[in-house]
Amino acid sequence: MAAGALDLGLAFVTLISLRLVFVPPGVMFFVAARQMRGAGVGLWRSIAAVLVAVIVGAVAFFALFAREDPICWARNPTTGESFRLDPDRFVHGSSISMDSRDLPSGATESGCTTDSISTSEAVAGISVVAAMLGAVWVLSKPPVPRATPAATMG
Amino acid sequence: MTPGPTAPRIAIVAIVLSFALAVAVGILRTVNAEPVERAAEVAGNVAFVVVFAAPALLALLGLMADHRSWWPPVPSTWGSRS
Repeated sequence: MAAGALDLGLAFVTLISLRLVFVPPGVMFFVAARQMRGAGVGLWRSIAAVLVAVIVGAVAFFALFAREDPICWARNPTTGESFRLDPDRFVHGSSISMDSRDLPSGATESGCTTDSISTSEAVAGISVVAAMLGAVWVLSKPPVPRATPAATMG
Repeated sequence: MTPGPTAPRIAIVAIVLSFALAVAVGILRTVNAEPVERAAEVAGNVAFVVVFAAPALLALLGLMADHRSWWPPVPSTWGSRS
């Protein structure tokens, strides 16, 4: 159930062109959860697991884009060589201004991306996913039945 | 409706599909990026795949936690005519 909810949540936040692609597995997770119900986990624990999966999963997704890490490049189409440029010179907030005089010699193509996923954001995202999996694992474990003392004879 | 062998099967198909889609999105991001961007975003693309594979990982954990309810399957009851 948590997998289905998270999959539909990710389908909602992803690019509109990819949105529909993530819906079928989400629906299939819901169908599978409905058919496999009765695993012994209480209603409140199930609801908590779904909420944790969706909220922490969304946090993991947005952690990838927490900081703006622009990247600028220029390319020499004749040699196919690419150069990395200092983005601080060209990217100011969400606007990019670049002049052909700023490019290295021979480079005629250039561009910037206002945000990329840095290594620290990647580590943060993966860590949040790991924490979410651990939390959902703990929440979805059926409670251990209490041992009853054996009846004494005589 | 009794839980039967169909339930794990649809879950397994969904898990495989979800993993495949996550990897496909990662490949799409890598292929679509400029060379400089691609080199800078290796860890980012891996993290992107991990985040999009999270539902499949969750379902896999769920199946592992609940495996006693459907495994091992009982072949004698499958397709038997009574």
